[in-house]
Amino acid sequence: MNATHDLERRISDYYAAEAPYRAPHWLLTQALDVIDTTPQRRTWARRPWRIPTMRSTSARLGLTSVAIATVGLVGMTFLWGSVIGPATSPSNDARSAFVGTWFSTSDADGGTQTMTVRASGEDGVEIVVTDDIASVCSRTASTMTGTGRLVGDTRLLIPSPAYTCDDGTKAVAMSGAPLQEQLRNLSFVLDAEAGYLTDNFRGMWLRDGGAAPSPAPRAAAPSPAPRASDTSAPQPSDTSAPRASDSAPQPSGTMWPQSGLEEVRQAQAFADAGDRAYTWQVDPQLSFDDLWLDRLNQPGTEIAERFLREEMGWDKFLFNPFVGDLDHGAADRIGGIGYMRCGPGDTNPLYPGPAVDLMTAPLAEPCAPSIDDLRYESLILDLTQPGQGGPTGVWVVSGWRPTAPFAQADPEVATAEAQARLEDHLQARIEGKGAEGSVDGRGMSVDIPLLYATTSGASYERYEIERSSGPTWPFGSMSFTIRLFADGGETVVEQQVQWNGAGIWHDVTTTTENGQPVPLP
Amino acid sequence: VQTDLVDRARRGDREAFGVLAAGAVDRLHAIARLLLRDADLAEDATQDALVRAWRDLPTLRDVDRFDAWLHRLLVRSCTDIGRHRRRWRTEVSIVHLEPSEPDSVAGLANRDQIERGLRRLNEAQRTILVLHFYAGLSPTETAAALEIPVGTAKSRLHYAIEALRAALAADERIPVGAAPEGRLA
Repeated sequence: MNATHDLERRISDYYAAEAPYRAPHWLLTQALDVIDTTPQRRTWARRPWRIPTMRSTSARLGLTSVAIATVGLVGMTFLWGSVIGPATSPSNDARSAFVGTWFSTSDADGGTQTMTVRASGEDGVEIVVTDDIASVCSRTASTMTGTGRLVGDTRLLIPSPAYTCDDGTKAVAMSGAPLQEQLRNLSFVLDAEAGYLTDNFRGMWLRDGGAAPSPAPRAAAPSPAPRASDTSAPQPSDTSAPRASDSAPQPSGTMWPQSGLEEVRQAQAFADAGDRAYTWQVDPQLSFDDLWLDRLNQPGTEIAERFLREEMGWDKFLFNPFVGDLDHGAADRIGGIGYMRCGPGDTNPLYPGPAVDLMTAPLAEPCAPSIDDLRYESLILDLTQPGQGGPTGVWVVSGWRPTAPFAQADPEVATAEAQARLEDHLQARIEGKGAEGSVDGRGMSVDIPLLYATTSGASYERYEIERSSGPTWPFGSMSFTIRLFADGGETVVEQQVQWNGAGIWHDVTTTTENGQPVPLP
Repeated sequence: VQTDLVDRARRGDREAFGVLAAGAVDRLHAIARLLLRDADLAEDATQDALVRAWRDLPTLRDVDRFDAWLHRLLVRSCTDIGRHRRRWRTEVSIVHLEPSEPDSVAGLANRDQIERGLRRLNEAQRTILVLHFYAGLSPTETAAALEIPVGTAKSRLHYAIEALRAALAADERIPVGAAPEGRLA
């Protein structure tokens, strides 16, 4: 057995000996008690309608920001009325923007969900939503009807829609509140520029046949001309159209590179036929549970990278796990993907080494801030397969929104702050009081090994702080070895501590006295 | 059988999930203890991972990947709890690991030496060693659990082993109280 295998065997033996054989008996019971009162994330909306659910506060805020941006194009007068203010009367033709046939963009269970909207009376709106595969109806067809009104010009509110299974059985929610409760106050917000609806479960609805008031595709996007086998179609990167960086970026955005479901369907057909102008939108790894995050972590996620380069004009950027709320809940959607823009140059002046963070960020080239010495432009993308799901379906950017700038820590500031905190703590240990307060304040000093004295009871006389690693990008994380001296320097107590950008903590198991491990109290 | 249970649990069957949880709780708890080295936090992380699993199970696309997904949730829970709650608690936490088997003299010596070596590794290195050598995860499974690329997992594992080897060697030869470089105070 060679040295490597011997060491590996020793590690395995160590863990086998150290690991508890059984969990406390009450642990499972307690967990199941919590689970009994915990609803599953899936709601009626995803299965019967195949609308990805809105999963988080940030997602809700994202939707709100889309709504605000959209309404902003219409006019601030309507913003307050439609988003956060009392209802206002829509303009006379406002309903026309909603009237017509719409399709849900998600087809995770293989069915088709269609919504017909028509005007009713002076200011009413009627909807009929059919679904040929509804999970709440045991995968039989369903129909939902409802009458509502516009709130402002861009929000359609259906207070009490009625959901029925076409076979006469009762529709039952898969989890959570009764279906009718979950459906109450169903609403759809119109993106007037892109011509799609977003419901209050974050589902997207596109017009059938491209009749929506959507803008023309940007020049950088491949045109879904009906030439299914034309492999000579220009690649998006081949276009001579002006780069997005040549013009002012949009404040927020919608679907890219296609702008509607019909275009996506055509793009899918071309991709299926091997047309390289569209096959780049197919990314099988994004569809697999164990691979999608790897894919985002690594260079080469073309749908996101082309968008950032061609639409946003970002030459260099990094996937940013520190912003956004990554959501891969629906098979055909990955939401909340954060990216930060890197400034020009090959180095980050404040962090010249590679960008590494524990267990989250990838190894990466240094990324200099793009705004000033500390701040990066930041945005969040949503990726969706609006047409065909699975590993052969094309992906689009279904939405994006800017975030507050992402800030790296100034390593000098972080170092000074960490040092000050450590010095306060160590000085208190020399003085024999207050050390527990300097690190915790919860009166648990008795558990810190050798807090004020050595094992023989000798008080500390001086200390040293040695930085063993860091500051590490982006938060200035550092590791330190602290040493406390007693008996004229004859006794040395050593402990490992870390600064994580917000505070210090140390691992009590690392305490040694004159190099010998100190048993825990 | 597990696939059927996962599928049932994914559709809201709490009884099925209870069976899955009962089969996983000891393993998850053991991994959490080794990762967090704190009894209370390990219990919290295990419970948190199970609750997350129940809550998010409908989002699991491939029921065959349940185990790998569960490991990922556990690591997330350990990371979250470690970052948000251990900062101060760890300073005062006491590890009382009770060996599952009686120790031989040689085994005890090995444990002590490995323990000292592991103390010199950083958290990321210790984590990947636990997942690989205790949980038995392959590099691909480890990468999935840590949400890092497979290549990164392989290199991190390699460097963790080498770091441990160096730490063991250093443990035997570095004199006590050697003057450090880069002192701040």
